[in-house]
Amino acid sequence: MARSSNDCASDDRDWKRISYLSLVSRTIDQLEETKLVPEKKVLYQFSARGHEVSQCILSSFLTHKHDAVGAYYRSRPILLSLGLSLEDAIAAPMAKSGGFSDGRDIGVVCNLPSKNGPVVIPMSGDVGSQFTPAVGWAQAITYRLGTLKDESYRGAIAVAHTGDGGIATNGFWAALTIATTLKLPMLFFLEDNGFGISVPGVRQTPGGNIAENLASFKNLFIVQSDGTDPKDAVTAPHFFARQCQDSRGILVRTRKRTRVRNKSNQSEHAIHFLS
Amino acid sequence: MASQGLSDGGWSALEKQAHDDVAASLEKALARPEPKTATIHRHVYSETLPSGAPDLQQRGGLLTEGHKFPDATDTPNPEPQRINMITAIRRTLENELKINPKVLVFGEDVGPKGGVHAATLGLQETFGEARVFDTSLSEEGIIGRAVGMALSGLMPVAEIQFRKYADPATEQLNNCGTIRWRTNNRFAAPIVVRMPGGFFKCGDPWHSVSSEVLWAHAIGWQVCIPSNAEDAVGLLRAAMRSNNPTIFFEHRHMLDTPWARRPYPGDNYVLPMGKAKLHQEGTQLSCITWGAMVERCEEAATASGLSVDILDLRTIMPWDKEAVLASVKKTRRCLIVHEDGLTAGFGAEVAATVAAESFFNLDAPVQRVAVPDLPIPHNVALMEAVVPSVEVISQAMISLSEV
Repeated sequence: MARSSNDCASDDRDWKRISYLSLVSRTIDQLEETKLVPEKKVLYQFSARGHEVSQCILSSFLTHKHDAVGAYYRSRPILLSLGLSLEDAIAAPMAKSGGFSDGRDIGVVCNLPSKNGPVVIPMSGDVGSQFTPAVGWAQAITYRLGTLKDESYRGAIAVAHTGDGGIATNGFWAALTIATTLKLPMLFFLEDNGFGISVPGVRQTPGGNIAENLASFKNLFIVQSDGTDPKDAVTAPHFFARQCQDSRGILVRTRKRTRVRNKSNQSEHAIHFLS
Repeated sequence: MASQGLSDGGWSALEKQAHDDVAASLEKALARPEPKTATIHRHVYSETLPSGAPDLQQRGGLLTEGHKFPDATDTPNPEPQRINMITAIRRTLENELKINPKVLVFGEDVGPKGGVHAATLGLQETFGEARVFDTSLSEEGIIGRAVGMALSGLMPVAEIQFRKYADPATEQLNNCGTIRWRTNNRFAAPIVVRMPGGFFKCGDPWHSVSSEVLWAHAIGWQVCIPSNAEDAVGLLRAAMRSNNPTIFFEHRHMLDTPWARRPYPGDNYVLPMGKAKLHQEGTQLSCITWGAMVERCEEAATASGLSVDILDLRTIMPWDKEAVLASVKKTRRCLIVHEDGLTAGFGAEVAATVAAESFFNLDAPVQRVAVPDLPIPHNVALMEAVVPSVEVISQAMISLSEV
């Protein structure tokens, strides 16, 4: 069953909250870059600049108590959207007490064990390690629902959040294989800014666009959207949320991607893969 | 957006609110104390509260959802017949699958084939494809998937077909072990990873790898290496009921060798982690060993004509330091025998501990017998030339007794 982008016309996102959280995340980055890093209060700074809106939009769809996200180090907007307090978000990069690691781990290597809301699986500092735990969560959803007959898991999803460098890792392909062969409720949410660390995207996948290269992958529903356009960025998670409910719709959406510059002259896009 | 009040003026107000809230939170964050250095050792493993209850993580594992296990005992209730180790493992998996619907068993060839070593033979037929299943040939996928399942509250038992093939999963294994510590006990991922390895009728650099020391060195793992069927039951069940992740090493030679056969000790048999077994009591020297070397050390002790304390560690993380030190204090001589490579093998850790904590009880230097720093060769004669033999161990015992 194909769906059209018109399905987004009735979108009722809480744009005020999305905007507020995006601004908060951007403000924290500015604070770290202009004050806390020069003062050596923050020793490792990882900016989420340019990632804010698409992440906050994505998070607005993660409302199921059994949803989970496997994220990476540019995920602060997701964390803030899913319940990380501002104080923890600011204290952790300064390695202060409390928060998600009590000063043990890098401030953007987060986790969120929320009892009654989406969980952020403990992140790791190594690129690509977020995929397979997320797909394990997705398989656990199907197991709880199908075998343990726990209806509270119906409609839950797992999300693997990545930059475009992550798609070259073993973990990405392992998780993609598992998700598509088992048809799991799994979203691969890729923020493609054209670089993996400093390495151009063409070194990560031929031509630099993994979405195009995966076009023939079975059981994979692919959406590309412009991460700089909120109306467009909302499309993919919207389709996914719908997709989870009947798990048969297939739609491939392509769109010419645009770039918006951030401080490090890298640009932002969002591409979303659905299985 | 405009309909939700986000006009130009509304946007400016939102920006101001964000700045004000961040500024207020910054003040609170700056006022937070530094973390306590005194607690940095905590939460590598599951801890116990003064009440005796576990100091539970918020997410992950069976206990966070209130799972109750049946009563357990470390006293065997042996059946009349002896079974081999592979049957012991299969029966333990079967029983835990039966009593705990949150147990899943998976890996390469684990499903209809029943595993290349037959550990899961018939289990898919009994428990269905959702609970016992084949995976894609990606060890990273097997272990990472297990981690995600454990974080969601299930008990995954992942099989790595041979120890060497855990290599692609190293990142996930290392990260799994440190989850509890990294998150300061907010999360834990108690999983069981079964991995056969070690020498067999012939060897090779791929299927005969031991390298158990890697998991002892990794943070947060329990590492079991049973030498016989009874211990395999007790340790595997302990792993499947544990709040910590566990590597369960299944030695290929011991899976069917007659020496390792024991009566099935019962469905409630659970061994503690870190408790060595005094396999044989003696007075002239202490032989510290584990896995397949226990059998060889027993034969070597007989061949040597010496009275040898043979201590089977059974688990190398945690390991029974007290039992080792007590034995060495008694015999005043210590020989460590293992199949893993000599350099930085786990024997080095035991030797260093004995030297540091029991130096004045020793009448001779601590000695080690292990595979030299080589891969295991395929040719049988070459393999036997590097794996510690009964003759080599026996000679080492005699030499040590003569110091």
